[in-house]
Amino acid sequence: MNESKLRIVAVHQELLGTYGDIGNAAILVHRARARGVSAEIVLARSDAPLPSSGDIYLFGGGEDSAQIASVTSLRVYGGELSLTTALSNGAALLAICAGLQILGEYFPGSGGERVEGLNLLPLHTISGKRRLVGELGTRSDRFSVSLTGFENHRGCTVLDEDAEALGEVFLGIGNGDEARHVDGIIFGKTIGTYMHGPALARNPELADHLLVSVLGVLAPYEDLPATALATERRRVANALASR
Amino acid sequence: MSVPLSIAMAAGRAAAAASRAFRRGEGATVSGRVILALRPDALAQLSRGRRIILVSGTNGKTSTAELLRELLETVAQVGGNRTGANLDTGMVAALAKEPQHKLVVLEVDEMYLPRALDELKPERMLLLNLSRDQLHRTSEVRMVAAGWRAAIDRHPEIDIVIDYEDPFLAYVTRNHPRTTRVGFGKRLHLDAASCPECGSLLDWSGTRYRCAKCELGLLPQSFAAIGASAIERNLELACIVARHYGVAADSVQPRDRVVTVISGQATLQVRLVKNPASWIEALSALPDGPVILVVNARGVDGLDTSWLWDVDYSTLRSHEVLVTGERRLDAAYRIHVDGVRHRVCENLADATSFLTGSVTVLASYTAFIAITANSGHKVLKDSKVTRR
Repeated sequence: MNESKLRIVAVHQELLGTYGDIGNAAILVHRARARGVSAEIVLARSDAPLPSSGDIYLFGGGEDSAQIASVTSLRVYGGELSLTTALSNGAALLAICAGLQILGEYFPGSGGERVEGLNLLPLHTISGKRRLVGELGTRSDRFSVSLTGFENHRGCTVLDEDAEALGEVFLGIGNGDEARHVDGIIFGKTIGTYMHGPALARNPELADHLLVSVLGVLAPYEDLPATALATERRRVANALASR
Repeated sequence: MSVPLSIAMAAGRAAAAASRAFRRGEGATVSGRVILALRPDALAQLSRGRRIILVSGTNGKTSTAELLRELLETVAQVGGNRTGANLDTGMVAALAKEPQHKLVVLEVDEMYLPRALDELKPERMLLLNLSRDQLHRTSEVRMVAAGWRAAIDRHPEIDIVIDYEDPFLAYVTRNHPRTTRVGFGKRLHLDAASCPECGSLLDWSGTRYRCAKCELGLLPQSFAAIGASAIERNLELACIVARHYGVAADSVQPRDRVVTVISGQATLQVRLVKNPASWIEALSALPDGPVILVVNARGVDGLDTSWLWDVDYSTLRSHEVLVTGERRLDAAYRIHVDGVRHRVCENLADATSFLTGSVTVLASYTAFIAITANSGHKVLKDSKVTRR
């Protein structure tokens, strides 16, 4: 970690911020500061190189054309190298929806054509048959609680065979791969998911997972409004799943 | 063989009367549904021989259409979908209800606009803005814009008035020969970092956005107007439309959708906030005093609450804030992260029981409807907001 401040890099917010994605940055800062860790948001714009000195990188959701503009910018400004450098220095990364697709091997453009991704994650994305919209709930051994979110995407993401998913889906669709009913990916310190927008609002455990992965240890902290929201959404997800 | 239009209209009237008798609302949607079931071509038929003006956009449709009607009523009798029912059913009902009115102002849902253009053959159209709204329903703003563009290209005969500071409106009318482009001075747009036309980054550094690649934004504006808030801009645009009909439009006040409701000791000024643009607008001009946020996430509100994070709530820090609605915990956590102290309440009655005097209520769509129509609170009147 950077010696003074935790640097949270919100990547291309102007392109990959369609679903309130900046919220994830605000939540990480909020939860870090509550532990006495000073933190700041770095807005990495798409008309400039991506900094390689960040501690946590956030890739959000966006529309097809914005997604392609983002991946083009990353290519033009050497964003791939910045990210590889940051990750090998121990940075963590959260990639949601379009952001997740960008980091894979390839994804579909607006006409269904193949667009090359950054190939940093062992996955690729193809066009799905229909748009997948609704509540999403997953479970995994990594987290003591289930994760919940809202998904809204058409892409169907296929993980490489040995890649670990973020969770098994018990509500909704997730990646949309018929062979594996899972959502997202967990790969080193990178987390990917289709729980879009401010996924960390509904899953404080996921926020702390990212913080722990770069800070090592984290003082316990219960933020009552966060717990209340997360608990309610889990209750609703369980109820929807058992209907 | 289809039934005569007059029979379909009579059936629609009967259905509306029944709906009103059973207090199921204004009956506009029901009546329209009946007419359309009997005559699927009713929209085209009922608009024949009439002068139709459409108003559409993400925000401000109902209040601007109402304002425009008021302006036009100084020179003619004007029909329209006054209740805000803005799909085919609502428009058909409005057209059938007042067949004698030759001039009609209709507000149209964004998703329905392409079909409305084809069927209604309007002579004029006012486009207010286009931004993200209910992403689960309307899909992304670029998809809506692409649909508008195709429909507008099919209708070069219509006169269109747009707010040119919205890059999406510049895009949808780009090839259109009869568009009046009203400039208001640069205003950033939440969804237009990249060009709606070609996807490359827009340059916002000058007096207006421009696309270096496809040159969107380089067409000259028709004229410049003044409008600091959305309400003022919509008034300006309505006046520009009204002038075409011989209205000298300087007497009307800007209109906001604020409804006054008395609840116990409190006087609630209830305002509809339904997407990031309208929240930002409402929060930028809050009156002093307590604020109640009511957030639901039923169909028309948007099932997904992620948009809450697109809005900066820091202006609420200096207010007493209460949060309620079905998604109060989402809203509460959101403003908590922005450092806004607040109280979470089970329902609006609980929230207002703490309060006296004038209270601002910012309510999402279904909450707004419930508070202003069915809550048992007394609705005083639609209030007007005076020009600042």
